[in-house]
Amino acid sequence: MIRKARESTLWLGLLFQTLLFALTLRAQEAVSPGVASVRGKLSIAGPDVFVEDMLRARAFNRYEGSMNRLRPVPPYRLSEKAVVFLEVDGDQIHYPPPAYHPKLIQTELMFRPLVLPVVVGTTVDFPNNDNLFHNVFSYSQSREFDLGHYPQGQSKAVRFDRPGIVKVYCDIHSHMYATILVLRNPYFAVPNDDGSYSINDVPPGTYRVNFWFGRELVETRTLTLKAEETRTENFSH
Amino acid sequence: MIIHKILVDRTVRRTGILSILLLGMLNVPVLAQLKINGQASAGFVASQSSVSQYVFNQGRGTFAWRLDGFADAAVSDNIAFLSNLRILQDQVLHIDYLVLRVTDLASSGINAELGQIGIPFENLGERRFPWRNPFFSLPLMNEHLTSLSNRDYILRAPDLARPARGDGVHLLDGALYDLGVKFYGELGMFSYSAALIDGMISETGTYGSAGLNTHHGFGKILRLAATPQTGLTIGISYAFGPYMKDDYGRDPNRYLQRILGSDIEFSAGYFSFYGQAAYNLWKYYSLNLKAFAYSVEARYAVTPRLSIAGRAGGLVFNSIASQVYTDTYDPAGFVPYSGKWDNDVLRLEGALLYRFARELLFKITYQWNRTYNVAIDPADDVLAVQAVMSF
Repeated sequence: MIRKARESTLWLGLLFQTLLFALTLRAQEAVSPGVASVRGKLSIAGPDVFVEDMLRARAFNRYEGSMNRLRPVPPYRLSEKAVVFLEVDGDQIHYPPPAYHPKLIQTELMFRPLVLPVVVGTTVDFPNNDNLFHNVFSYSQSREFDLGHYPQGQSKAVRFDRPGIVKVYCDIHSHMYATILVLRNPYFAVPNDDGSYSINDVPPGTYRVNFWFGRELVETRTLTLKAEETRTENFSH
Repeated sequence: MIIHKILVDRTVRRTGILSILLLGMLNVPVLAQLKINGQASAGFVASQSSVSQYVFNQGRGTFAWRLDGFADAAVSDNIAFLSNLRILQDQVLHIDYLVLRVTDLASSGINAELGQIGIPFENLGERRFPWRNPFFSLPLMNEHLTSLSNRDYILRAPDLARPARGDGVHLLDGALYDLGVKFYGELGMFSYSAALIDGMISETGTYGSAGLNTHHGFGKILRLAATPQTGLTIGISYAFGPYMKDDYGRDPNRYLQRILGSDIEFSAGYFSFYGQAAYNLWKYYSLNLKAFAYSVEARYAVTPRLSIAGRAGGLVFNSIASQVYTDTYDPAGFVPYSGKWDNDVLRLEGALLYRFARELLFKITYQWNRTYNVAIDPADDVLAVQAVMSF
């Protein structure tokens, strides 16, 4: 009798723990009270044309012998070339930039990542990992800069105080490019390698949700988010 | 400027070759690896007026344009075809560079180019083209025409008497391209190049010779460079070979050019510097015609869009005491001559450059030429305004 009672208690305990675990998971998945989230998956087809650009430039290089010594180049991961971000009209809220400095790395005659989303006010580091000079510059309206020549192991920093699209190039290697998206708010996400993304803690309201891939804005949709809503938006390219 | 004029007559014949090559390129199986890009420039040039080889368009201000096209194709990771085409306002097509390139031959790290190659002498590199050249012209040592006639290779008294000499062979023949073969590679911080060409540094095989060799011999060029740190490259070059056509029954081995060059390239931050020097010797009968040339060039980016540049170039020639020909029509006639066989020259250049966009560059350049050893220095300064687009 006692044994049976113990077994029942054990089963009840297990059931309670399972229930508790499930509730915890559900709580983790649920949006915070009063805010919404946007999730989805990105589907990309076709070869990595961005790496092909670089390989062509290396093959057709005439004057820089050291370009031939570089290592093979892995293709861009999805997280390096795709961004989903939300915009709202008349957004005057100041969002504090992160304390850390995101990096736009010069390596193997490429910028990595290909697209870097940051909030207004963020400082981006530009380390040079190549055993040759680069000259990073941009003439974009929202931020014009020229970092000059600096060698491997050194880095320079640029602060981005105005929202906009900053196209970044190397003056020495004309095929090198990257885009810095200077965004008004922190509601953006880079996808995981499986294409899934998640933008959380978004205040309710009407937004434009943008899908950026490589060098261009691929698609924009308008959506209205309600409190505690989780919206699914899938994109393909 | 002089180069433009001279190259006109040597490239018309290559139009047919180009057509064949373009057709050939279209048959390349991996069309995805075909790349065509280039630079287009247009400008206005005005020079002073005098009898000088540096005077542009006889001193009449003129508009001018230039198009450089780069058409490349790759058939595998290490086999490529590369070409540079150039058209000026005279609408004559120049094929400067046209090579089949194989990199990493038999995994040896050695690369080879065969065709019309870039001669590996000194460090002109991308400064051959308007986008990277802050000035309108090439360095003085690549443009100057000496008193040694390039038609029949003789020194004539009338030429030597002219204050503005210069109708003869170059010291360095323009942007330095020639038919030949080049092997090159790198060993640690060192890079090396060795080439055989139809012509010679002062007069390449592309010069009025239907593209074929005019000597019973080849020009031989060696270059060794070291890059002890990123941004600093120091090089030495040596070239020797017959510089005269042997159409005149001369033994080409008696008319050798030997030229030793050194160069340096340095850049850091917003500053770039290029230096070149060459000591040259032409064997001419029993004489040694010597020349020393230098060019130093600095560039500084003042703002992301605005740059300034300056260049100084000089030529110094030796003196001879010999008999020279009286004129063209009396080759048997000689007169004694004593003095420099060409006039020393100093050229100073300044440039202001502004980038309107990533692909659009605007340049204003001024070239000041000073000729020495003459009673009156000819008025031959040049002002050029040029817009260059890269695509």
